[in-house]
Amino acid sequence: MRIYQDCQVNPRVLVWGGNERAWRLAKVISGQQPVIWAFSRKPPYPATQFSGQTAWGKDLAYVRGKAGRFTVGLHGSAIEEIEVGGIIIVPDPAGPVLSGLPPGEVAGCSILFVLMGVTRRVYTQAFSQIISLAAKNRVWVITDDVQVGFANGEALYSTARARGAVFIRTDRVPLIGTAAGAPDRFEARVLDTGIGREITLPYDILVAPRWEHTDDGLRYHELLGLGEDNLDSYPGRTNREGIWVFPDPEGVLTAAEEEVIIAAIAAQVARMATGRVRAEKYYEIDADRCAFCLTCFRLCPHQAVEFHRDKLFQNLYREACRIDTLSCRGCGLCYAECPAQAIKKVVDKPAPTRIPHVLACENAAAGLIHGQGLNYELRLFPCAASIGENVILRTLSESNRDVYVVACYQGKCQHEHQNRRLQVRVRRLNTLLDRLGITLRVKLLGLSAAEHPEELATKVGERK
Amino acid sequence: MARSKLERILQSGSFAVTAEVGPPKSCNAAFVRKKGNLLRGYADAFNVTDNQTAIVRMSSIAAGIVLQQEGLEPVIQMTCRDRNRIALQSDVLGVAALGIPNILCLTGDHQSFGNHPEAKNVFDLDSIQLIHTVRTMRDEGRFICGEEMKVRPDVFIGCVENPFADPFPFRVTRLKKKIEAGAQFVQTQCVLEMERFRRFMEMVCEQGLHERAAVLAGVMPIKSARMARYMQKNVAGMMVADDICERLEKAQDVQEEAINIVVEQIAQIREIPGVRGIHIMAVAWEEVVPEIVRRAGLYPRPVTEIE
Amino acid sequence: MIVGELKPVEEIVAKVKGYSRILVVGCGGCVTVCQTGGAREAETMAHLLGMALRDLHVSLDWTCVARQCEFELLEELKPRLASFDAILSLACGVGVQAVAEFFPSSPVIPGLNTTFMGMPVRHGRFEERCQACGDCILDLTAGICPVARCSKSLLNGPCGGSQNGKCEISAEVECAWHLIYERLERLGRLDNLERLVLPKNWAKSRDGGPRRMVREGLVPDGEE
Repeated sequence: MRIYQDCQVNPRVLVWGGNERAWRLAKVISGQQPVIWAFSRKPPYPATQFSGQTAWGKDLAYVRGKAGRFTVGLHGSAIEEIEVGGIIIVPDPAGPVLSGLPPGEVAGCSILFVLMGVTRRVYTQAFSQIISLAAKNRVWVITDDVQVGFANGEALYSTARARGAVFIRTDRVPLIGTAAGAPDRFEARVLDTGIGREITLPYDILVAPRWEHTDDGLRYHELLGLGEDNLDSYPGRTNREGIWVFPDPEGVLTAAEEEVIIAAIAAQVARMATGRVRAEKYYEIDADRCAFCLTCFRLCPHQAVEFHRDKLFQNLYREACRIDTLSCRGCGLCYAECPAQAIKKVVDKPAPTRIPHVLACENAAAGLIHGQGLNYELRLFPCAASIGENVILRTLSESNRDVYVVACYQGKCQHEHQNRRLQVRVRRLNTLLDRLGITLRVKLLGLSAAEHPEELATKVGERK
Repeated sequence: MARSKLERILQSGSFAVTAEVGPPKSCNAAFVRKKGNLLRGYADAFNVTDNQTAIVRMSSIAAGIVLQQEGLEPVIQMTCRDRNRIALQSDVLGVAALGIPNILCLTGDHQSFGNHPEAKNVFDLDSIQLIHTVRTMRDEGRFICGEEMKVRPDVFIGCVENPFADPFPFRVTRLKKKIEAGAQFVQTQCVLEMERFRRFMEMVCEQGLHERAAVLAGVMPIKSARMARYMQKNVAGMMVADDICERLEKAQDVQEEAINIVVEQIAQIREIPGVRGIHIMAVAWEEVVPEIVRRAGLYPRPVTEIE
Repeated sequence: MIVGELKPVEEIVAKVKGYSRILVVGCGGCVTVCQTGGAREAETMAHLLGMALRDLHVSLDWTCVARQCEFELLEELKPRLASFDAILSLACGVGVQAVAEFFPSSPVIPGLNTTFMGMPVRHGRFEERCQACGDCILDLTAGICPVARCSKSLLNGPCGGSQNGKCEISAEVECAWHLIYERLERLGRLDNLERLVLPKNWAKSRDGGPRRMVREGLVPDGEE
């Protein structure tokens, strides 16, 4: 059984960014719901094609509230507040630029291009340079992958080779520095996979792509209280519900790929278009038991906890923490750590008939089928973070055998590295058990949904 | 005429020399006598440390009396770590009653350094308040509580200051506070970084503090290069110049070089305006003090009238 | 808030040995906030002790009251006490004593060491801030307490062991006077440090004996 809550939301969306992407995104969203397109300076894109509201020349000052009901402070001559349901930040794609190119006409030089791990966009820029330089210079191109998948790409590649540019393929980063015994001469050593041995290339000019990040990304991250891992999430979803950061800050996407991301983000904010969102409710705080210690507020990886004042609360403060249903992703970290045990599951699964001794994150253990040919009792949790010290000890005490706690591998947790939190939790418990002369132990296992159920059996070390 | 010989020497304008005698970790009075006699005639007065670095040793007052019986003038160090205002004032009366003319007031090292880190510390007063207390007892004949006493303790009041601690500008302010509280002479932390000490003395002179109290610069012969490096890195409130460490590291005869360094330092210190003496802290190397004093040209020590 | 830390578990086990039915009582006040003595910790402790004392057939249960330092809030424990022969209190020393006073015939064992008055500087990390000296001077010291935060409780500025902003006792400890100096400098009030501060009246601190505070205007005349 699942419990849902109808949440009223503001359908209006803020698109923040002064680049073409932001313009295209705002245009798409304006077809489905109200949108404000805003940025600190007026962008040079035709606003005529954009039918929504715009606001230029103001800086982002603060963001308050939760998904569906954000208040954004815009800093102009005075602070102006706007109310929106969702926020999409579109950082300026920095894009790699070729650096080291000679400023004017050069002739008779050896020029080395190093194009490792770059995309088509860099190649479009590089080919025209290679072709023009190859006319009067020696040009070498070290690359892991010649990219021609764009308009006229094959033709440009053929022209470059016809002009004498040499393409050296390698799978290793070349060593670049001064020549041995001749500090004024430069050379690169590279493993040529075509001929299968290392070659040395003396050069005068080195050309390589360089990424120039704007600092906006970092600044917005801090302002919005975002975690460290948001950039990897597709399509720009962050740890805060209702806030998106357009991925690809390096600008390596092609226009077509960009369209896909735009469509995906637009589809996500479309959930709010009707002004109501049906969201699953996972946990709630019993305000009368809440010690208002701020543990959940500080720990929540999704910033779903807010303060709520109510004179009817029976606790000391007439104020308690509250979980915002729309923002909560149900990891249960707050449930496991609340020292007052004031947080309850909205739906409590019936107690297992047999005492479990494997407590597992349901994501990590998704590949396991309960009990199938394996001699263990499994109890699933939405995330290992929600397996509290007391639950582990209770299980240990009742089952009177070692207990396994299963978490995701490092970097695979969708709630910001909760497996690391489990490490210290388990370590503390084992230390206490050891000091009390109790021989039972808690064992932490990393598992992935992709692993076969038998993996666990192997790790636990038992078969039926 | 001042009762303290140290005070008379400073008044006469002579460059004063004091040295340190650390009491033993036992009740061996002969040890104190032996140490004192080793230094006889090479310093004007002898600091007796008060459970230095929070290690239990013979009481500084008791050891001071042993020195006094040998005809040497002690400077009794009193720290605020182990005694509250009742015990401190009582000991000030005791020191004066026994005829010891000099008291040096310090806050004291924290007990966590010593051999009883589990002790409860006192710090009822801090060093500045202790100075003020002794001065009030002597000049106004009153205890902290305001009550009066019949016979006042006639003592010469000293303090310490550490030019190498932080915040640096506050070090001069702190010295000023101590002088305003009643300090008449100052012994500094040992000078192993001459430039910082020069800047400190410039600031002292700018404020005219050198005229209100006599500044004695601390000097310390360092027995080994390893010890120098250790103090440089690990001892809070100390600065050791790199070239001192390097000279000791390169020296053939390290002890000879250590003496050379101190003698050169004393010569430099004597050139610094406002300095009126030196205080030699030859911790666990007292036997080298006579040679240092001789080679620094400070021997024989002046004889004052009372003697 | 009052910060308490769990006693070494070996010590707790030694203290409860000999009792056969133990009620672990958490406190919903400060020690809940510092995650050492709340409802969850009470349950955790009951499981741990249950396992450690399994061979001795000791039975354990747990509960938590809103605040152990209020007699009225201890009332709810009364009906349960007949089934237990000892209480393990996870409150601060105040709560332990309130329980002892309220239940004169029940043995009470402290499960925490009450360590200091302080605050969380971040999740799970607490620092001392006040020593209840009874005579606040924070206005003179830029809002940083030298009584609680200077290792020697000095009142006239940093001692000679302050270097690079650290206390002489350890490089981990910040010199409170260095912090005060920096803050006064920022506030343009370094002159505060030039004033001689005379000996403090420690009679208002614990040195004056157990303290009592009477809030005037609350108790009608003639009532005690």
